[in-house]
Amino acid sequence: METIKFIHCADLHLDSPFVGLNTLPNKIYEQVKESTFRAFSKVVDLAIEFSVDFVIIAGDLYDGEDRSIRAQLFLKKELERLEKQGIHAFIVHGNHDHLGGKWTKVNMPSNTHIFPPKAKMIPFTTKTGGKIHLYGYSYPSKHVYEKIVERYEKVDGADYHIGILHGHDSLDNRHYRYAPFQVTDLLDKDFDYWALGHIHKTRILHENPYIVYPGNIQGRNPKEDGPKGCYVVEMNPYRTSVTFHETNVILWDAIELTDEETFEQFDQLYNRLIRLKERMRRKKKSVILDISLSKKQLSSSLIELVESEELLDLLREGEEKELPFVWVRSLSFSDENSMSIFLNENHEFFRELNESLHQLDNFERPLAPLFSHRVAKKYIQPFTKEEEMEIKGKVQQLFSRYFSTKG
Amino acid sequence: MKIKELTIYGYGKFELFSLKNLGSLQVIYGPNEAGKSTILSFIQSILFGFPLKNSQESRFEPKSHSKYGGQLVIELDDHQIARIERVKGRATGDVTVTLENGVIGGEELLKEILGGLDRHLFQGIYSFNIHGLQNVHKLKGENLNRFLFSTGTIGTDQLMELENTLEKEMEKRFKKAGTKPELNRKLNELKEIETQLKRSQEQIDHYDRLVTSRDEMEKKLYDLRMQLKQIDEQLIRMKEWNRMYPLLVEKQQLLQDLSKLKEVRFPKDGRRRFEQLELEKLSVEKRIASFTERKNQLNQEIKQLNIENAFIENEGKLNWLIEDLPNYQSLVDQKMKIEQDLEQLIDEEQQLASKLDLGCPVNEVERFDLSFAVKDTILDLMSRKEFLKKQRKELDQQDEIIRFKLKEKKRELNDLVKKKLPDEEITKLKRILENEGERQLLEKEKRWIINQLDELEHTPFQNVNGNFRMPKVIGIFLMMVFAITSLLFNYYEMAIAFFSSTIIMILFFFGMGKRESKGKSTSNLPLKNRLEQVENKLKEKTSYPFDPYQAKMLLEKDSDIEKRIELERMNVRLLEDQFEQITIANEKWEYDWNRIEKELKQIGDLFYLKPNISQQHLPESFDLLEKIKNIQMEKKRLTEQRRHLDEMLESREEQIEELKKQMSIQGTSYHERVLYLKQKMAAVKEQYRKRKELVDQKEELNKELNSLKEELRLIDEKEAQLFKEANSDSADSFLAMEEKAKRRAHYLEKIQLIEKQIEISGISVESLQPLSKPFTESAFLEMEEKKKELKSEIDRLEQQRASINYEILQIEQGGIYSDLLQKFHQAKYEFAEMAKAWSVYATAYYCLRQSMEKYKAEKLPKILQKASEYFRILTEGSYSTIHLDRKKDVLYVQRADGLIFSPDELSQATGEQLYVSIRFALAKTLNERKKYPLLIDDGFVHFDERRLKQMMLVLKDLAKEQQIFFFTCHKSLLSFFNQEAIIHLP
Repeated sequence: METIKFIHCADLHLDSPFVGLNTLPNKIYEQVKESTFRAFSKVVDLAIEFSVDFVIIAGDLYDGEDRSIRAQLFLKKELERLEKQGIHAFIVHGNHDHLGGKWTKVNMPSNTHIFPPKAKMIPFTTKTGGKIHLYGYSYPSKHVYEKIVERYEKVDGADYHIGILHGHDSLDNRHYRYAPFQVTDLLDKDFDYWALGHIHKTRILHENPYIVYPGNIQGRNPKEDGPKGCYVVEMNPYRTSVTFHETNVILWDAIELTDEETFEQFDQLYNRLIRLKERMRRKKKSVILDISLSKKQLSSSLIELVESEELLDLLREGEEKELPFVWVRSLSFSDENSMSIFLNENHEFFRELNESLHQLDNFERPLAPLFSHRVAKKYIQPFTKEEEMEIKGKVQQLFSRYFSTKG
Repeated sequence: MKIKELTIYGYGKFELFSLKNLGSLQVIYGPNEAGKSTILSFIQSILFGFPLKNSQESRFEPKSHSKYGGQLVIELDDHQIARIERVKGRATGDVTVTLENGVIGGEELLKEILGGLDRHLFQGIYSFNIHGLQNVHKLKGENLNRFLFSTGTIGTDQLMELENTLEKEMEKRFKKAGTKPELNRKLNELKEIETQLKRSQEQIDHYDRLVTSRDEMEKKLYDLRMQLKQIDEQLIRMKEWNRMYPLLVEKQQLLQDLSKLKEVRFPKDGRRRFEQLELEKLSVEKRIASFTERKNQLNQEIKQLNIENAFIENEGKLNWLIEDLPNYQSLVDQKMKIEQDLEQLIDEEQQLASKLDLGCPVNEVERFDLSFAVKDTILDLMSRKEFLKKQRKELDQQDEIIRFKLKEKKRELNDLVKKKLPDEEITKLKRILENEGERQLLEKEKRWIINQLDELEHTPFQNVNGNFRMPKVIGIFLMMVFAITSLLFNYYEMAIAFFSSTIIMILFFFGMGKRESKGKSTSNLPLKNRLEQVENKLKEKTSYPFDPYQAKMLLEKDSDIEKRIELERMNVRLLEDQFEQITIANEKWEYDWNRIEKELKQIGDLFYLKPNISQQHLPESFDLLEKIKNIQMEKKRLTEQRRHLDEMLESREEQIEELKKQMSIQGTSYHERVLYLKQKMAAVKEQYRKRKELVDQKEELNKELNSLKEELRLIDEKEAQLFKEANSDSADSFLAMEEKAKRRAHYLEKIQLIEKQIEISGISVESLQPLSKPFTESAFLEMEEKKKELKSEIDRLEQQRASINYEILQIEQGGIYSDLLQKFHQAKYEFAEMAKAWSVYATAYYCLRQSMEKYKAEKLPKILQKASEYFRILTEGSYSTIHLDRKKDVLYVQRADGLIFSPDELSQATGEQLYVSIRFALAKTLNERKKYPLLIDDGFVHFDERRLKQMMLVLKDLAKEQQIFFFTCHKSLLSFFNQEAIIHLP
């Protein structure tokens, strides 16, 4: 039996819009927009560098079912690059890029194998004679409720069997819309490797055989922070080795300055933050950075600077000329919400105020003016529980600030 | 709580200032600049902290000294006493709270005691000053109402402000039907982008169609191009045909000629092979001829050789003899040598025998026993003989010596005896000596006596004491000295002592001398008698004539001689002994010598030797005998060898004789004969060899000849075959065929050339079919026309395609769609953020209103009731109640006559009263929980007497429940209070 090598990536979300970034300078904005494309190019570079036999893309290649022409053409070009090197590509479509959408068909090159919306096995022989059977399934629509994995049937006659599945490993009912499965289901199939997709955080569910979520290839918001990439997998009859390779061109990161550092002067704080930025820059990747610190660390004048975002502007100055750039997305206080508000409990009115705020559960009434607005309600969604808590906290802050700083 | 004591360390102008025993209604009176505001501020500072540096309130930091801060002693509601002390430290100062029960704490404890009351709230509810009243004047209408309402709730207008602010913020962000607020604007933006997005989407659909039409166009272009290509090809073909036509004709002709030539068969290189074969044949034949000749020659030569056989037959023997010749020679030599040796040996033998003078024939020696034992015996005897010889000599020597010595000695002895003195002589001499001796003795005695006499007479005191004289003198002298000295020093007793001792000593010494001289004179007499005797004896002695000295000498000499005689006599005796010894030895020697001689002779007899020889020279004889024996043994050996040699020589000679029978052998001596044989042998061998050679050669030749013949045959065969290939049986017909073949080849070549050309041109034609005619001019023209048409069509289509491509490119490249998508999502996000911000205000507003409603519904009525009470008092009953309009959130008052007024309709003073009532009512109501002191700074300056009085009533009422501090600079007000309750500030 031969050794085979392949790349496993997923959740490309090409052409995914980036939100949460206001007022980016143009240059940076362009880079951010292009980041998912660049990241996928890197994946293809890796494939060529390691001379892999094939590449697996486990779903969510595009962001919405109205996939842009540009994204598709880009994908086609990259696949052609692979074709030139004799590397094949095996693709399943997931919930975001499901086959039920309305989209323009762009023909992919001959080395590309796209799985249909029905569990299928595609055989493949490598240049060195290794025989592989790949099993996959593309989403026909946005939600797939059944346990699709049960339809995967092993067909003998190959050295290696690899399963490709875009879905969610969970017993949790809330996630039953995305081809749910459990690890035991996968193990029962007796495959040599499971190439999963859908979860953006890199996770290895099982070793021997490997069941892997490679995560997405480029973070798109602060929650998708840290390095992102794909796996290079090498399999021989005795051993499988998986190596993670970073492909993200922009890194989302968050740093909290520890409580031990206090700042009296502006220079102190400014230089510290500049040093922080430069340290991030040394990673040789562009970074979008959230910095937080505690109010206790600063003198009141400095707190003012932070809140007015003056300091933030300073930190952002000149970044559009830098490469790689370090863009400070926010400079905030971590203890904003944890400050103890002390409205005089003894005063009847304040007690009442606290009570009413505390007990507020249904935000519909207070927010009605906006959320029931005919036009507005098309564009916003009701707040999540977290957001509601956030609002409550802010209100409390507002009250306390108001009633304590006056006079 | 109540403030009982107040102590200022340093605050404003106060330094170490304290006020004690503060009461429930405490008036503090002082002119302007007395420090009322200072104390007011102080109290608040201690309770709530020093104002921060950047706050609007003054910190009252003393300028002339450094002490800052102070303490309050308060009584809590549960009657516990607490001390609150605050001094400079952190921004708000360092506070220490000490409770009665010993608990000590800081800020936390203070907060607990105060129940969370802060400065702001305190000021709002419990602190009354001018500002509050001023507000009443400032606000009008709606605002006033709200202000009062707000006042009634928390004591200040904060609520109103807050409500306003929140509303403003909300509206800033969003208005239901507005356009300016940011959310509204964002909404518009979103709508815009969405439409753009949709449009872009449409374009994308359009894309599909564009792509299809482009593909179609591509296909069409392709077809047209194909057609064009075909026409071009056709044209080329036609041209070619025309060009090739003449050649084709020629070809046909050639083919015809070719068919005329009938069967032509000619092998390749036929001619060349033929010629080659002929050449070969010729050379082979030549060689055969020469070899045959040679063969005949050889036969001749062989015949001529003549060989003697006998030699051949006996070759072996002959060879052996020939080779053996040197051997033979050496054998002969050896024999000769042996004979020489033998002769020599015999001579020797003879010599030795004669030497020995043997008494037997010399051959007998062989049998003698000449073993080592015998030899040893002989040697032993000889050595013993030698020894004896030596001994002889020694003995003789000794003999001689002794004889000589003896003679000498005897002679000596005689001499000595002669020399000796006779005995009488000796006695004489002896007597002389005796005499002398005596004489000397007498002399000696005489001398001594004389001496003694001398001594006894002539020795005075001096001689005897001579020795002791000096010390004695010194001693006496010293004594004298001491005596004198002691006298000089007036030691009279001592002087006397010394002096007396001196005298004693002198006397003593003197007496001693005298005594001695007396003794001496008595001993003289015996001595003198002796002397006389001695002298007489002496006289007798000196009469002898003889010199004693001489006599002594002679005696001595004689005694010497005596001794020597004795000695010599002994010597002689010794010598005679020795002589005796020698004689004995001699005898023994004789005996030994004779024995040895006898033995030697005996042995000599065994060997038949003459006795004198055996006795003198036995060992040498023995050696000689040995030699003779050896010689004889050698002789034997040599003889044997000679016999052996003779045998060998004989055998060889016999062989020659044998051979002589068979062949003629020349020569007389063995040597000569053998040499002759050798020569002959060589010659014969030579012949033999020669013949063999020739025979071999002949064989060779035969072989060669055979192979050549075979070759010849083969060549003939090959030729025959060659002819067959050309279908001929002779050389002539063969050559004729060759001619034909040549011609044929020529034709073919030409045809080939033509065909090549045809091939190049690409035209295909059947060889023998009739040819179609070449193309005409018009045909060409027609084709060209067609071409032109197609080209133009192609151009047109290409243009169309280019434009479509451009459109497609636009769509593909134009990230317009993705840009818009991005923008759209971004806008949505921003909208959401803004919505969040708005929501905060909206929620706050909602909560605030809710609380307010609740408060209004529940709490406010109570306050208003109380306020009404105060209002009534203050207005002396002019007004009865204060009401709340729930719907409008405003207050209004009811006059005693029942008329309703809104606050802004009241006069200024009444408005103030209303304000004050509400505030007091609020303070009172709140005090139900916890009590705090009211701090009232003189602000009621506008009130007239009556009103003031009413005010005081109210204050007194309030003071029942809580402590009130009343700061004033108006003397006139003092009269309303008890004197004890007033503190005058200095």
